[in-house]
Amino acid sequence: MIAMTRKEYNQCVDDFADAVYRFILKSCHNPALADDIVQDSFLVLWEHVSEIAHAKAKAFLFTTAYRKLIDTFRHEKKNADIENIRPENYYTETSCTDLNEILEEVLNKLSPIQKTVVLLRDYEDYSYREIAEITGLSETQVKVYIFRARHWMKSFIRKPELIL
Amino acid sequence: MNIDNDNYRLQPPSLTYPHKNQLKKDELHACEDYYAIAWAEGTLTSQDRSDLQRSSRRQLIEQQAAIYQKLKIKPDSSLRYKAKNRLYRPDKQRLLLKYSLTAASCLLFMALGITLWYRTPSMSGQENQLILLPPIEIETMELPAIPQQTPVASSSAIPTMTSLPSAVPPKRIPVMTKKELPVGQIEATPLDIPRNIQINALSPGDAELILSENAIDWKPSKNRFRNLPLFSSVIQTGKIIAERLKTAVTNEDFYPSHLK
Repeated sequence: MIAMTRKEYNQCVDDFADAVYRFILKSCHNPALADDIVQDSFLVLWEHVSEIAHAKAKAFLFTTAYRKLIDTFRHEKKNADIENIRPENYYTETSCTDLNEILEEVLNKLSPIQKTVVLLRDYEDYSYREIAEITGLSETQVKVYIFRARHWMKSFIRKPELIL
Repeated sequence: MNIDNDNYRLQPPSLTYPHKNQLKKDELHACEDYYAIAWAEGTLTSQDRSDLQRSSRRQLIEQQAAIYQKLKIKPDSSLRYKAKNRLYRPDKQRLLLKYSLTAASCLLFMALGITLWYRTPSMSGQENQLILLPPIEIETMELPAIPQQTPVASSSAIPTMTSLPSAVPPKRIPVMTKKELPVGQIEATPLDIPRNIQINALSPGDAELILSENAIDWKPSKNRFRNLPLFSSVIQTGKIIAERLKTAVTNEDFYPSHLK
C-alpha cells in the first residue's frame, strides 16, 4: 500500500475540507459541531496517514465524518433508530424565494439517513457503491433510500412544474 | 391391425425460459416513478430500457425524469471551511523554527521586563538613600577695613557716636562644618576691621545647593512634582534659609553695635 505523504495530506485539506464541512453542516445545521467533526476527521486521517492511499482519502474522510455525526446524534439521543426518525423533528418554517431554498427546506424534512444519502449523491456525485461504503448500508438499500427520498420530495412540492 | 394412439402422444418439452429473473421486480421497482427516477439518476438497466421502449407511457416517464433531474440539490459553493489553517501539518523544520522563535521572544521580553523592573527607582527606598554632599573647599577672602568715622558736631537730633573699638589683630575664625554649625545661630563678624574671613564655599559643581542636615532627613511629599529629589531639595533649602534670616533679623546681636 502506498502511504500518503505530508504534502498529499495537506493537499487533501485543500481539496476536501470544504466538501466535508458542507456535508456535515447540511446534515446537522450546527456550525460548531460541523467544525469539530471536520477537525476530528482530519485528525484521524493524519493518524492513519501511513495506512491510507491518497486516492482513498476522500472516502475515508466522508466515512469518518459521517460516523462521528451518527455518534453525536446517538449520544444526544436525538435518534434512537436513525432509520426511523420522524422527519417533522427537523422541520423549520422559513420563507423560500428560489428553487434551491425550497429544496433545502424539503431536504430538512427527510429522515437523517435519507438526507445523508441524498447529500452524498447530489453534493459529491458518489456512486451507490461508494455511498454504501461510507454509510455502511448495502447498495440496494442506498438505491431504495434515494428513490424514496426523490419521490417524497417531488410529492411534497406537489406541483414542481410551477417552480421549475 | 390395432393401433395404440397413446404411443403417439406428444411429450412436454423440458425447456425453461432463461431470462426469468429479469422479469422479476425487486423492491426498487416497487417504488413509484421508478423509471423516471432511474432515468434521472442514470441507473436504467438494459432491461429497464427495453421495457421503456415497449411502454406506452414512455413520453410521460421522460417528462417526469426531467422534473426529477431539476430537483437535484446543488452544493452551496459559498459555504467554505474557514479553519483550514489548523488542519495543515507543517514540516518539522518549520515547526522547530517556529517554536525556537517563540521561545526566544519570550526570553527577550522577560529579560526586558526584569531590566526595567530593577532600573525603576522605588520611592520607598529614598529614605535610606545616602545623599552625597559635594566636598567643601575653604577659601580666604580679604575684606577692606572700614575707615574710622570723624565725630560729628553735637546736635540734639544727631546721636553721639561712641568711639570705635581699636583694631584687633586678625584672627582665624575656626571653620565650622555643616554639622557643627547650629541652625539659627550665625555669629556676625565685625565690619570695622579688615580681616580675613574664611568662607565655606561649595566646590564648583553641578549642584549649587546648600543642603542642611534637615535636607537629609527630608521625606518626599505627596505632591508628584515635589517628589523629584532636585526640586524638593531646593524648596526645603529655601525654607531653611528663610527661617534663618527671619530669626537673625529679629535677634539684636545680628546688627553691629553702632547701628543698634
